This record gives sequence, structure tokens and C-alpha cells, in this order.
Amino acid sequence: MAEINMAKAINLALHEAMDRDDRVVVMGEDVGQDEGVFRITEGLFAKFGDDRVIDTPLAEAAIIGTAIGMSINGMKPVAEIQFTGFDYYAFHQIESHASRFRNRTRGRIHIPMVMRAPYGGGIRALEHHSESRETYYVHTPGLKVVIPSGPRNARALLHSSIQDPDPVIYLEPKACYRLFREEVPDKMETLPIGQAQVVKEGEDLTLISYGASLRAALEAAEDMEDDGIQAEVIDLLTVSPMDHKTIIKSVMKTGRAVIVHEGQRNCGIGAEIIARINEHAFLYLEAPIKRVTGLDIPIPYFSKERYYLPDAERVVIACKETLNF
Amino acid sequence: MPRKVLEIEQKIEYLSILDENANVDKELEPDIPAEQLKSMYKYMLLGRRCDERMLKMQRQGRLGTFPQSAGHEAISIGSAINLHQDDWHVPAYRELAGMLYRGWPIENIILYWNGFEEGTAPPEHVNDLPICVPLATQLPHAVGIGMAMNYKKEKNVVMTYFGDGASSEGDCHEALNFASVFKAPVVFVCLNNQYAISVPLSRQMSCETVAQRAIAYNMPGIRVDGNDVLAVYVATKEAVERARAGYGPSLIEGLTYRLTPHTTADDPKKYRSEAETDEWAKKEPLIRFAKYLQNKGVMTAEDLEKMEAEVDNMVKTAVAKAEEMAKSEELLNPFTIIDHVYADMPQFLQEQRDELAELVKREAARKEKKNAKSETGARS
Amino acid sequence: MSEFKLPDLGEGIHEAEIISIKVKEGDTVKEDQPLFEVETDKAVVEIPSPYSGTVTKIHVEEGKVVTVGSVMISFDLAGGKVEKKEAKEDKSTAKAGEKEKVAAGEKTPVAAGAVKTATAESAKHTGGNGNAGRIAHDPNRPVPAAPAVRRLARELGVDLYQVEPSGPSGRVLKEDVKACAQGTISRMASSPSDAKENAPAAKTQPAMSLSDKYGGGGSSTAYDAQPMTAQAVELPDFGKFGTTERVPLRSIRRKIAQNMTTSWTHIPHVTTFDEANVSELSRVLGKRDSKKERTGPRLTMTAFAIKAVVSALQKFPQFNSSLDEAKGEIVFKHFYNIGIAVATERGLIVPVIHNAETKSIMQIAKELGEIAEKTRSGKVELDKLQGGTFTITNIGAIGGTSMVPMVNHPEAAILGMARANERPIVKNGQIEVGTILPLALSFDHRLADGAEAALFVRHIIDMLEEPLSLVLE
Ligand SMILES: Cc1ncc(C[n+]2csc(CCOP(=O)(O)OP(=O)(O)O)c2C)c(N)n1
Repeated sequence: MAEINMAKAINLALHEAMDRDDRVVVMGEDVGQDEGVFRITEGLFAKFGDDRVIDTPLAEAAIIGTAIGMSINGMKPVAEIQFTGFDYYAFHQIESHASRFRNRTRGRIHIPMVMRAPYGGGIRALEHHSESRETYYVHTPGLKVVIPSGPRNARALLHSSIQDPDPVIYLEPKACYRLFREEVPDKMETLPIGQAQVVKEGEDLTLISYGASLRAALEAAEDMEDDGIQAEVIDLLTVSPMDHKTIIKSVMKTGRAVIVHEGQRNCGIGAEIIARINEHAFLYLEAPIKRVTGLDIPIPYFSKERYYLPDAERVVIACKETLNF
Repeated sequence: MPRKVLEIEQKIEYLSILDENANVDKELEPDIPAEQLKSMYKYMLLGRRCDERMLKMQRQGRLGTFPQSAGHEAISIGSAINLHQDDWHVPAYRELAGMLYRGWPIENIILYWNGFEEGTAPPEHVNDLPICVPLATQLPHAVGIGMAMNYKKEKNVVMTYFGDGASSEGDCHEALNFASVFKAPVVFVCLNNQYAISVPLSRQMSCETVAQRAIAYNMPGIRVDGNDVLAVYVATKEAVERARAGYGPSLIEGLTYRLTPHTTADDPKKYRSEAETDEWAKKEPLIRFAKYLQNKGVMTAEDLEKMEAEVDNMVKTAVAKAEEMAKSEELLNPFTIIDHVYADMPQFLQEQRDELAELVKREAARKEKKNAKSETGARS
Repeated sequence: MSEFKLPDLGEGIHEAEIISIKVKEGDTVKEDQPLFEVETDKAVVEIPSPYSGTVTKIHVEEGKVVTVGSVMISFDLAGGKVEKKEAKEDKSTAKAGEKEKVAAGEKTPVAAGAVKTATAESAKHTGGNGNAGRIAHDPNRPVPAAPAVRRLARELGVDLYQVEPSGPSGRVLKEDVKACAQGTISRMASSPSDAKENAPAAKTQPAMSLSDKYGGGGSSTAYDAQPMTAQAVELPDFGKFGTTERVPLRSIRRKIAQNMTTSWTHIPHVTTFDEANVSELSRVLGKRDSKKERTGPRLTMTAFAIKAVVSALQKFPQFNSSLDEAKGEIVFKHFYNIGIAVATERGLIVPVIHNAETKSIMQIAKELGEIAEKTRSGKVELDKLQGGTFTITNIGAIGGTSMVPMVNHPEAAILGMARANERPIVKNGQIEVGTILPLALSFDHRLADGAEAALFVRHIIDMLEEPLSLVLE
């Protein structure tokens, strides 16, 4: 198949999933006629109609709440929240219900829904349109949190998320929607949820990232090669349940780790990664683990966003500090 | 245990005073002093010209994404004009004209949409909340401000705004209910422009009007022609007076149309016809109001032209000032992103501030190097 | 001359298709006059001119896709006095700038700064200045060292408190631990009685004079004042119950304590017990011993055991190996150096019979006699104390029915021999008297399993029960 960008790849996955399983419906604000504010639902309304591509009234709590109800009654809703900045409205539905039904009913009722939402900064968007608050979901037992980083894994992971029997929060790094293109195979594919990928091998230190921040990590790794530093780069892909085995294996080899994410630092994903490394590979550490993350402030409006978002330079500096420790 | 009928009033008024051809209903026509009429027109015009200017700036890469407000000037000004300076104005995001009237400098608005939080800090003398992006969340704040007024025995009112789409949010219903239960002095103004981005009114709700929701919350509700500044004025004046007199909240729905895309990132051709837009463009609020002012002899064609020039000038000056400010040390100061998060800086954040200082130093060094390079380049 | 670049017209838009171009080169345009109509992924929009001036060049074509940040059109600004309204610095150029900077690596101001601090700091802590030769760890706090350094120290049996730090802020580095371990080995190599002669003059420190009757075991007796480990267990006040005397833990005793701690904390021990019926062997040995005129050395059960062990090691090489924890590898040794635990006044010392596989029973017996004697009298050569691959400890001469020996780190196993005694044994339904040698093999369970250990011991037993096979071996 041709090379496509991530927006197209997610769109492709939605087409494929709806083609093969008529329990799959897409719902949300402006997903129908408008084809989504990021055009992720392009062509779906025309192809599957109003029954399966549902423009909802403007109410996130009801979007997620009714998606839960549909799941209970045998469907597989893929609910879009227009921006993660507005998913808090639905948080009580996610936290109190989507994540708990299976446990509360001892497995009788489960919620095989997907909540899709674009997250993250870097596109000069309005206030409340650039947040990375995946930690809220990661902190909620019963949820899976998937964050793709490129066209191919985005498509495969969306399929896995839709097929998953449990609720999956599928967060799309919107800065990557149209950032680059990648070849995706003709045949539909899936990727196991809960499995990280080593995207670049190296001996000197381990860079761990996901989503949009992976670009910064990769760019930094490339830059450091000029200095003869070989960084191993891990793309988490699933933030929860986290694949710490892959991380541990790498850190046991390199003895050093730097974590990169744009979400806030305080109790962020990096904190959890460090805890796991401590638990499983403490004696292999040559240096303290560093975090290159968003600051613990509301993400600044775009004129000063660059002071907040991790970039390759910050990553390189952190890596060198780690290596020179 | 009978089965009987509960008597509930089920009528909603609709009010229109000045029609699209500038015909005025003499009986309903409010008695507004000429100076105030001029002022109303001036701020409607200012809102419009600002909006147009900002769209161009966005297309030229000089502004970020922003929601345009053309078409909403009558609702915004017709209502805000009824507020005292110390009353509260709690907007959503299409009340540009009203915000300017309330005293927000144009350059603040421009700075805001250019990515500077500084632009959203309310000026000292105004009792306004800033623009609110998360839909309907400002409505409970407005009610809370009103409840505090009751508690403090202040004789003020709160005017708050929301869209037809936002009316579907839980926060909207919860706010209406609280306001009515606690008799908060709040005027809820719904800018019903018939679309929430692409979603038409028929998909937003199956009832005919937003105003009729007032019945369920036991408050007066009315729908007005939202392009008719006089109708908006009359309806909100009544609501403000009721609130000030201690009779609690009201709901006013202004029916209008968004003449522009939802934001600069939107393409309305995907969901509404040009014919429809053209039809509504004819009903837009400024033309008929200008005619009314002329017909009434408040302003001559020459006056109007002069006002155009004055407003143009205001916008031009503000743009220049905003772009100058955007380059000022004060606004470029990176530490503002950290310094206002808490009243007292916690230790961990101070440490991150130090980290930021390192980054800023690097940036400065880079700039210096670049400058040095270009200087040598120029000499060679 | 001014250029206009395609801005991000939506949110995260990266490119746009030129639908129409509304001006020509040479046209005079006014600010805000439409220049282009472009279509993005999201919408068709019109781009108004940011300048008034003359169009000098149009860089794009209708129908072509241009990326955000590309130059679309150039202007000659009327009279050059129209204020410049440059679009925001576009992402691509900003990125390129950064990259250039980052690629410069350590030469960037801050990276260089960081490196400088590091060097400055390490200079403070190394280079024969104030810190050199003195170990400045606060005994009340953990020694600063990265976890991986701690692991190495643990593996090498090095007490971090005794390592001279060379890292920033008094931090112990891997090299420091290695250097310290090297020192420990050479110290250990100096046999106790030879210590004074062996200690090179240069290494002799004033503190040496404090050496007590145990002899100065190391290059710096300052070590001895340090606690054994960071997590030393506090003792009760014995004085409450009677008089006590405190003697410093020194020299061999100290080394034994360290080695045993290393062995105990690092090696998951398992011990397997068995018995050998050595009736025949002991009869032969007894007979030979009772002879008035004996030719050759005294033959002992230990000499035979050494021979049997070598044979078993050859068959089960895992018991002749070591685990390299750092590399995650097992080191198999192709030589069989058997250490023999010898009790001395100063404590346990383990001299080694090298390349036992190349030696006959007689040679082994001879060497064993000499080396034990030398060890007891403190005259053993240094090289005889190194290089063991397997240890045998025989408490038979003193007594005991069994024991659990501890592996001599970094070896894989140790064979304990208790006293061979006459005991009633049942053979073919008949009770008869036999000589039974109790054996205990402790081994590193990471390197071998119980079944292998049992077979290993079985092999030794088989050989001891058939002494002829040993002689022929
Ligand atoms: C809670 C929330 N959900 C979604 C959005 C994204 N969004 C911004 S404006 C808008 C449509 C709002 O429609 P309406 O309330 O009718 O106001 P209008 O924009 O038409 O003035 C949407 C969905 C948001 N800002 N906040």
C-alpha cells in the first residue's frame, strides 16, 4: 500500500474495523458530516450512514456514558472525544463505570469500547487543546491506555483496541497526525496491547518514550550518534499495562535510562517507569534515571509552549548528564 | 391517588423589533438615548472589524487558531449594554464585541489568540471573566458569583453566555438548576447560531427552542431575533431588572447565524450550504442597525463613514501595539509560565524553574551565536 | 525584498494544495489583497497579502502541494518603508537551527558547561590531592555509589567503606572498586607470617606500626577501624552481664569474615549429604601406615579424595566453574586446582594443589603433606594460596559426624569430609563392620542442581569405594 500519514492510517483502521464487524460504531462530536475536526472519520459517514457514524449532541459525559450502555448491549463503540482537554467531562463515566463493570459484575458485564482522543501539544492550538494527561487513565485500574507513534502502529493498535474485550483509551498524538508518512501493509494487522518496541538498538543508554515525544527521543538518539553514543530507544506504545520487561532488559544492558514524555512530571509515566526499574534492575544502574518531561504547570499557550515541550536538545543534554555521571 | 393534570405554563415568547429590512415595530421599540445607540453601533462595528482583521492575520501566520464572531455582535452588545460597570460579564468566546465594550483592550484579544496568556488577564477595572474554551463550564461560575452576591447582599447581576451546542452539556443544566434553586441574579444568554461546529440544531436537541428549557427550571425564558440588537436589548434589560430586584435568573435565547467558519481551522462547506449562508448573511445585524440609526436620524451616512474610519484606526493601532507588545521583554519572559501557577512557589517547582533558566540561557547563547554569524556574514 | 511563507492554516496542518494564484509577477498588491486560494486537509482558504508592494516572484504553481514554511511569494516592498510583517518563524527552520546546535554536541554552551563541572569536580576528588590515600566516607551514612557499582563491590567482596572514591562528591566508581579488590587480593596473597617481609616498603604506611600479633594484613591498617559492612547489626551491651574484652577484627580473621559474608550473601547454597563405605581404602591405608619402613609420603584419605574429586570434576564441569554475574556468563576452567582447608592458629587458610589432574596419588600425597605443614607454620608460598577451583575441607582429624561447608567464593562447590568411623553396616542381609566416611557437598545452586550434585558425590564415592580405580586413574 502507499505511504500514508497517521491521520489516514487511523481512518483506514476505522474503515476496516467497520467493514469486518457490524457491531463497531463510531460516535462523537462532528464525526459524521464534518468527518471529524481532524478528518479522522473521513468517508465513514458516506459509507456507513447515520446509524453507525453518529454525530452526537455536545456532551462528553453522555457520549461515553451511552457508549458504555451500547457496549453492555453487545456493541463495540469507538467514541471520539474531540480533544483530551474535554475528556474530563466524561471522566466519571470512565472511572466509575467503564473501568469497573467487569470487576463489579465478576465478569458478567464487560465494556469492550474504545475512547479515541487527540492529545498533546505542538500545533499552536487554543487553550485546553494541548494537554497530555494520560496519567489520569493510567492511574485507573481496569483501563488500557494505548498511545501510537506512527501510521503503521496506529492502525494496528487501533484494531487491537477495538478487538480488546476491555475499555481502551486510545490517545492520538495530534502533532503526528500529518507529520510524516509511512508504508502500511495492504493486509490489516494488529499489534499486541501491552508490548513495547525497541525501535533503535544501542548499548550506551536506554531512551524510553511514546507518542509525540518519541520524535524528540529518536532525533536525540540520531544526534548523539555523531558523538559515538549509541542510545537504545524504546517506544512504549501501551502506557498501561506497561511492558516493563522490555525496559528492564534494556536497562540491564545499558545501565542508564532517560525517559521522555510531554505530560507533567509529577507522578507521570516516567515516575512509574523509574519505580519499575528500581524494583527489577536496581543493581544494574550506573547513574540516576533522568526525566525529560513537561513541567509541572498547565501547558503554556503556544507562544511559550516550547519552554514546556521536550525537544531533542533537552533529551541530548539529559543523556549526556546521565552518561557523564 | 388520582391521575390529574398539573398546570404548567408552556408558552415561550419570541421577540423581534427591528427586522432585516430595518423596519421597526414602533410599539416595541425601546427608548435608548442617541449617545448610547451610537456607542452600541460603534462596538458592534469594532467587534466586526477586529474579527475580520484577525482572520487575515491568522491566514498570514500572524495569529493562532481563533473562533470568529462575525454575526454575533447584536446579541453580545444588546445584552452587555445593560450591565453596570461593576456587574459581571462571563463570556464564552464569541462575545468579542461585548468584551471590547466592557473595556478589554483590543490588543489583549489579539495577544491572546496569538498564544499569550497575558491577553486573557482581565484589565483592572472590569468585573469580567476571561474567554472560556471548555464549553458550558463558565455557567456554574456565573451562578456561583451570583450566589455570592446574594450572600453579600450586592445589588449586581451576572450576564453569562453559551452556545446552542453548549446547552447540551451537563454543566449548563446543572447551572440553570442551581441558579433557579438559589435565585441567583444571573442572566443566561444563549447564542443560538444553529450549529455547533458542524452539528445542526436538529441534532443538538429535539425541542424547538433553547428558551423553553427555562420552563423546566422555573425561570422566565424568551427567544429573540439574535440579529436584532433592539430585541436583545429589551429582553435582557427586563431580565437584568428582574435579577437586580431579587427575582432570580432568566434565560434568553438569541437566534442568529455564524457568518464565518467555526474557527480558522474549520471548513463550513462540509456541513452547510452556501445558499443557506447567503440567506442568513442578509439578516446580519450591522446593516439593519446602521439603517435604523440613519432612519432615526441618530447618525448620517457621513457619521457612519467617520465611525468606520475611527474604528479602522483603532484596530490598526491595536494590531501594531499588540505586535510590538509580543516582542517586549515582559511578554517574552519565559518564567511567567511558572510564576503564576501557585501563590507561593513550591520547592519542586522552583527546581523546575531553575531547569527552565538553563534552557533560556541556551536559547540566548544560540541567538547570540546566530547574530555573530550573520554579522561576520555581512562583512565578508 | 520580503518573502511570504505558507503558515499553518489550521491546527497541525503540514501542507496545502495551491488551488489558484490571484496575482502575477510584477503586480502591485495592497496589504490584505487575496494572493492565493489553497486547500488544506481541512478547508479551502484564501490567503491575503501581508504586505503592500510589487510581486517579484511567485515560487509556487497551481495544483502543486506546498509544505508549511515554504516560501510562496516574494515582494519588493513599496519604497522599502512598509513595515515588515514576517510570519512567525516557521517550524522547519526553527528545527533545523536547533538540530545544527544539538549536533554540535559537547561544544554547545551548556553541554560544555556540564562537562566542565564534572571535570572540575572530579579534579577535586582525585589526582593525589587532599583525598588521595585517605578514605573519607562518613561511617554513619551509606557510601555514595551507583547501584551497579554496589553490585560490583558485592560480587568482588569489597566493602565500599574501604574504597577510596574518585568520583564527584566522594562517589565511588567502578574503577575504584576494582582497584580496591586488586589491593585486597594482593593483601590476601601475602601469607600472614610473610606479611611483614612481603609488604613492599613503598606501601608501608605509618599506620603499619599498629600491626598487632596477627600481623598487618593490608597496606593500610586504617581499614581496620572501619565497620565491616554498612548494615552492621548493633550488639547489646554485654557489659551488663559480665566483663568483656574487645579485640579488633583483623587480618586473616577479618578476611575470612569478609569471604564468608560474600559467599553467604552471594551464593545460593545447597548441601547434599552422602556416605562412602571406605572400609577397603582405610584398611589399605592403615596397613601402609603401620609398616615400619614406609617408602614415599604418608597416604591420606584426603589425597585419595583429591584424586576422586578431580575425576568427578572432569565428568561434571559445572562444579569447576564460576559465575560471572556482571557478564551473565559461566566460566568453565580447564584446570583442576584443589584447595585444602587448613586450620591454623590464625584461622582457616586454603592452600591449593595446582593441576591435580596431572599428578599421581603419590605426588598429590607428597605435596599435600608439605603444603599443610608450610601453611601451619606460616611459610607457604603466595602462589600456593591462589587459583583454586574447588575446595576440600576435612574435619575428620578432629571429629564430627557431618557438617555444612560453605563454598569458597568464587568457586562453585566445596566437599566436606567428616571423620571416617567404624559402623555396623548391612550387607546382603548381614550386619558387618565397615568404615563409613560421611561426605557433604555444598554447591552454588545457580550453577548446578541437586541431582547433578548427588551424581557428582556418587562418582566420588564410587571411586573411594574402589581405591584401585584411583590409583589407576
Ligand atoms: C467541553 C467541550 N467539548 C468540546 C469542545 C470543542 N468545541 C469547541 S466549540 C464547539 C462547538 C460549540 O458549539 P456551540 O456551543 O453551539 O457554540 P458556537 O461555537 O456555535 O458558538 C466544540 C465542539 C469544547 N471546547 N469544549
